[in-house]
Amino acid sequence: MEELCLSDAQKKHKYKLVKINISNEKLKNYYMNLGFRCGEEIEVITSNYGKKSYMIRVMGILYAMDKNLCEKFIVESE
Amino acid sequence: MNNIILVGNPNTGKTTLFNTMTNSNRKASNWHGVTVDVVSKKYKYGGEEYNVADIPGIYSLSSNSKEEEIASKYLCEHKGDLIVNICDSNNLKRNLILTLELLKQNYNVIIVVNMSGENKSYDLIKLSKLLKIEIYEIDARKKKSIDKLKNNINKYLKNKKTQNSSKIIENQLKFGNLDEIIKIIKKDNIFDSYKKTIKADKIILNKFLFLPIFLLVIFSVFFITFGPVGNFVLGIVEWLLSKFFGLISSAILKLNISQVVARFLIDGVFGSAITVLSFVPQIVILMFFLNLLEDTGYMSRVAFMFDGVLKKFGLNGKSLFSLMMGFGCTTSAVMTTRNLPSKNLRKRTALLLPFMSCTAKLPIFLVISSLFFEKYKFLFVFLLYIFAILISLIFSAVYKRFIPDEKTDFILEMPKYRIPNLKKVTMDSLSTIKEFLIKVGSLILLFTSIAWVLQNFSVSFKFLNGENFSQSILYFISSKLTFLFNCIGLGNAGTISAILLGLVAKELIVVGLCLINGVTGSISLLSESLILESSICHFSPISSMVFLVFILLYSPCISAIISIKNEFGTKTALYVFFAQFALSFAVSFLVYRIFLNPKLIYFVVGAIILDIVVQLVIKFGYKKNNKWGRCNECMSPYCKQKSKVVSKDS
Repeated sequence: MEELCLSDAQKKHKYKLVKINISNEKLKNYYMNLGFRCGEEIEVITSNYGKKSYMIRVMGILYAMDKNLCEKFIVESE
Repeated sequence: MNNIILVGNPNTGKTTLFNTMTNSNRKASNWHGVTVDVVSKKYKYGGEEYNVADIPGIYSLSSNSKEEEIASKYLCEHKGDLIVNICDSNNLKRNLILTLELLKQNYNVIIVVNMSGENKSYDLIKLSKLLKIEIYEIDARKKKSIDKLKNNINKYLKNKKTQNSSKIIENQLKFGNLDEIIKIIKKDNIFDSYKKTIKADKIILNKFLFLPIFLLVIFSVFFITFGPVGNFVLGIVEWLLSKFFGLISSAILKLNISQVVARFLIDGVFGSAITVLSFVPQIVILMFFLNLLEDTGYMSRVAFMFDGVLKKFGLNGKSLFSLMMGFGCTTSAVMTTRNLPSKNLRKRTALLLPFMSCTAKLPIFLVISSLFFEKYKFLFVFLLYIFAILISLIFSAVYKRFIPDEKTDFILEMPKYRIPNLKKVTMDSLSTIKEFLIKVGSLILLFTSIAWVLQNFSVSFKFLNGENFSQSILYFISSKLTFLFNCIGLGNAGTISAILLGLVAKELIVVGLCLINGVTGSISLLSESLILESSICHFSPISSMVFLVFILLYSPCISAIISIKNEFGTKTALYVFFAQFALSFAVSFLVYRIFLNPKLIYFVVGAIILDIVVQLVIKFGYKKNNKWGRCNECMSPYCKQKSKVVSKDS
């Protein structure tokens, strides 16, 4: 299955989180505690003006996340 | 005494629980990071005394922002007799990550599931058996539900003391990982509580509809507050206060006291207090609607949609919460910058807060708008706010250059849309008014008294009885500054006195104008006095506009400066004080000159357009050819020595 960045994911399609490209372990752990754990279902709901941030859904919860951060999350289609 | 610590993810209802438990009224809202410091309060139940601590929301025990650092540090230093871990029934899976961390650290934990009626997708009895800890379902807003929780805590702590603590810890550690737990406790039908929110977001966050909806919402708030509804309420309150003032004045005059004391009580104390009180209705209405918007979850959407725009100005979506708080009170808004992820972003946001017009400035906007724009008062005040926001955006772009960007990631939890809790919203609005009135009753009363003495006594300390203002101490001080304020058309000693008083607290500006003009009790009376040339402090249409611009932009009050000093140091605080003063002076000068010579506007607009064109050409040329980078030596984008030019990538 093809892996892609969360920022390239199609809207309203469901993906599986496979990797978090963050070297800082503390920060990586922080996002994992927010629900961004490998294997979790993840979905891009919408984007804002200029597509600078995306509204995504993980563990059923909605988050607003900027594009730079989205690029660090690698997903694959379910 | 038993020490209880309320711990949980942001926006799970910790502060609401704290308020109901301890009968307090701390600010709680439907967005992330409202609580930025630790507050504790005692309550008694069943003959026992409890101390409850409300700490900022955390996702884990490791911190990622200043407010999370405060919470983690508090938990490290205080184990507490009991950790009440608040979980939101709608996000139970994510909330349990923190619970497991707390259990691993051997904290004595119970779980309370807030808003349990909204989502019953998980079997809490099974969860309780699995983790070997007590779980209680609550609705943090309902007193009955919290009384039951207090009773359960009381029983739990009594039983706990008789149990062997090592056995409890051993039991708690016998759990598997989160996924295993969820698999066991999950019911067949998972209720998606975000379904309605996502449907609503399809309309609200639609690219074409968002902006019109946002403008309509904000415009409606201003229309209701300063339009017919606000004016109607204001009229009633003014009438009641004037009757009350009449009764008080006649009662004081009947007392057998000296004329100086009588005039001080009537004009200095009651007159000033009543003038400030007459603005309360419109402040209540404005705060009520802003709190209402917060409680629905709409403001988080606004932060998300404007994140891209704000980034261009060196801010991010989260900054919007602090900026919104700035419309209430700059002092508390400075503290809310703690939930921003980087130091420089916090600083940049805090530097913009004085531009957000706080409620204390509202009275003066109302007085001046009543002078010339009675019919379109709401539109005028709305435009003033917009003007301040535009200036703040320009400065934000400037600060972006001087306070460099640290690479920060923007992530913000989006709350569910909720029907606002009218009782909570009303209480929050009244709490703002309470703070306002306490300020009026203490600081303002003190400075009003000082101002009254300065105005009613001559330099040789002779009582002037409200006459011969030109002989007063206040006039003497203000007249030394007239040379400075003459160039912006505000060379009147009365106006300067009001401006100086406003440096202490913005509420004092109106009080000062009343004292100087000898008017009390009504906005309309004060407005009328300000256009009479016989009044000590009077305005022409031009000078009133300049005065408004000056007040809108000048230095924040002393308490805000102290708050900035505490958060960012003395240098930043001094910078804010002097820079805001200089800026207000410069903009007022420009406005004054444009009013005197309207053709000047062409020059100003032309200069702005030219600047935009130059910026665009530099940007466009730079992007297209990648040869217009800045030179390493002369820093010029026009440098011909290509070898020195730095490319964007390098």
